[in-house]
Amino acid sequence: MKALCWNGPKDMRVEEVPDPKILNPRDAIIRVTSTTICGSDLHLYDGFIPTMMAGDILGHEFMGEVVEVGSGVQNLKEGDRVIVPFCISCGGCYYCKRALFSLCDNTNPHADWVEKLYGFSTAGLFGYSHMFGGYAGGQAEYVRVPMADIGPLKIPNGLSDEQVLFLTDIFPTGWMAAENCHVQPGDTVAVWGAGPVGQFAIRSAFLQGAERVIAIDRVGDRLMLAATASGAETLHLDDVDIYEALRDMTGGRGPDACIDAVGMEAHGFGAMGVYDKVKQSMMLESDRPHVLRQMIHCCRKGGTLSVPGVYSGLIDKFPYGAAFGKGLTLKGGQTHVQRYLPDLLQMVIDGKVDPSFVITHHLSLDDGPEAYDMFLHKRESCMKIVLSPGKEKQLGAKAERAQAVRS
Amino acid sequence: MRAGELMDMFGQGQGQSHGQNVGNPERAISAATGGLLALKGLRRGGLSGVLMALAGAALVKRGVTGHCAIKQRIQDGKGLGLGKGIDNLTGFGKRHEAKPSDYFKHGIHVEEAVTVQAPAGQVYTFWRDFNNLAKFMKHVKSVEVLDEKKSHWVVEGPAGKNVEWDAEIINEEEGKLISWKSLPGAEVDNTGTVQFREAPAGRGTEVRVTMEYLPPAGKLGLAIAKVFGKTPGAEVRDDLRRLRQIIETGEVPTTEGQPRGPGTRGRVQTAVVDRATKIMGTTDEVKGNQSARFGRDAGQDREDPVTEESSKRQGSEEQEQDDQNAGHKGSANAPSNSNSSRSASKSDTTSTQGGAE
Repeated sequence: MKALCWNGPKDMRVEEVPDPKILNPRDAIIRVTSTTICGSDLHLYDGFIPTMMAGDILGHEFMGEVVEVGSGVQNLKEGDRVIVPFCISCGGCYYCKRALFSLCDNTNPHADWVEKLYGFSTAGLFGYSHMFGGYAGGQAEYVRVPMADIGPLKIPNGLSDEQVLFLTDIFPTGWMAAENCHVQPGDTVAVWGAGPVGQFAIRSAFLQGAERVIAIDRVGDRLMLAATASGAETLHLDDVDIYEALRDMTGGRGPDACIDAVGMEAHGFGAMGVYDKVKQSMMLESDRPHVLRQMIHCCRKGGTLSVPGVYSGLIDKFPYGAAFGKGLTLKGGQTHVQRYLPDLLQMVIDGKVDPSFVITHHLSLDDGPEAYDMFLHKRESCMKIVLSPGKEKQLGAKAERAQAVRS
Repeated sequence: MRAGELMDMFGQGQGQSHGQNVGNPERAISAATGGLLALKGLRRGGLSGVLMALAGAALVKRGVTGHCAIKQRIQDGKGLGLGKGIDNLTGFGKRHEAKPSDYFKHGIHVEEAVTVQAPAGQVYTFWRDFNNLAKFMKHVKSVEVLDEKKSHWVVEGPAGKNVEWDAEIINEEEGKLISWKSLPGAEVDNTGTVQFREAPAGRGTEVRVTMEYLPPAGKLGLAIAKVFGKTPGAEVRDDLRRLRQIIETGEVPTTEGQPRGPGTRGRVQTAVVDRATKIMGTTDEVKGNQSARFGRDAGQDREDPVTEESSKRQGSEEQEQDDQNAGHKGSANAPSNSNSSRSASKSDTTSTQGGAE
């Protein structure tokens, strides 16, 4: 089959690899109909997540049709159309039983590695480095899904791939980010990063009762979408002093909750920005925490910081004194996708949310390498790319030649 | 470390005085060979690596102390005990029963615990059926139940050789604990207890393993092993994690046999994680470790220790490539008679197939 393989930083290739097969009783094999590139894939693409190997198949947001199930999977059968949560969860451990699915005790074959780094291991993830399990991802024609009786959610007829694909990650991630803010009536929520997760965090904060949501970014198109699609107010990083602007917009109080939908590769400014960039490139700090620092400064006293953006290791110059003094609550973690799926699917069915509003590009799996590059540099207003394995290649010289022949 | 201390450490665990019976050139060769074997074992990692290292340490001991147990046996007219295999070459050949004082003075103490989401009675029953033990104890090749109390253990040892012993249950309380000790003649004397206790407020069952064993080459071998490889404690922790996986999910997670791109260079190595630990777990000692960011660099780093797991692979087509790596010759030693549940439980690691450049 064809698969999109990581071969080094900024080196993605479409390659021919063996088809996946059932390895454990609770496995299923899915024929992928749609997959996407997540913002967190860019951390892998840039080479900032350790324990990647040349040849690794990426992709943790995908859906498709069940083609084979193992002997331990009773709830799925061949032909079922499913979406697959990005975290692999067993359903039987202490954490899964408490709906903390991304903290699953049992699905990481390299749990001892993560224990070294974090003290305790978290769940295995699709296509997200060997430290998090080394599972082959879904940017491929077929994918093996372990614990298939727990993760995959059957999709009713009448919903398109585009409407349900983002239930695998970014919609629940945005939803959990807002939920972690414990939104109260009248609250103002500030969201750093108006990328795909930020867009869903904004939408979710409104759905959970926020009075106002303020989107902060440096890409005009993304702020525009936040305003038009969800009704957010916007602040452009290049135009204003964020602290002063937020303080002013909230009558001198500061936002009640702040969401970091950017993560470890935030773009900093001035001396501090250079400092972090240098330290990160030297691997002296793994993550660049500009957004976290700014959120601690801007948030109102007693407020909440919610962090859906991915961090993986150390950060530097973390103003914990301010966070302590202001009595802030800090919440993060990978999304417990399975916990939110039934409710969020119902919202899609009811038409309350059409998650496809973030899609800017429909491409082929063959366009993967170019798509990563375009997404990284946010060319062509790129926000969210859907890759279809069956589709003909859209980008590059070959596609242009084919176009010329047709016309 | 002064030579005297070295000899003191080696002298432990044998309970008898040794005179020099090995000539000086032979001592030097023995020590050098032993050192190499020890390093190789340590690079290989894991319990089998540890045992290989211990075997090496025994040779170093022979060189340093100038005493060879084998020569001694010949001189004493005891013979070599043909058929005992590697043990005599590595100093495993003691045949007296370990006394409590031996464990007290020279034993290695291991204590690990895991909490499993199942009633204590269920976990106890699973464990008490010794046929289940090889499903989650990675280095245990088989446990044969001889009678109600006795069992025969075969454990993967150094250089592909097995280490074997008989064990006897010396105490058990249904649903609560099992205690055992190895019987006289064990190649590695060991004793211990596994306890099963309800955790508070529905948190499952705490399974706690407490064990002692006598390392064949004294504590120095273990000291070296701790510096370079996994400690016995870490091995037991891995085993208990697999126990939890089997009881809670019915299977051990694996990626072995899944597809990957042809661009594979080398294999995922624990060294990468060690570096990442340095980078992400501490702020010092990180200079010069930039390459840890990139799997590509890690893959090219062929001199690094190979994961223990990769040496367990049964597929043979990658063997030639593997053999480029020092300390990786154990690859062909995977058990050939493993049943299906065994092989499922043993294959808990990343596929590392093909295409080394």
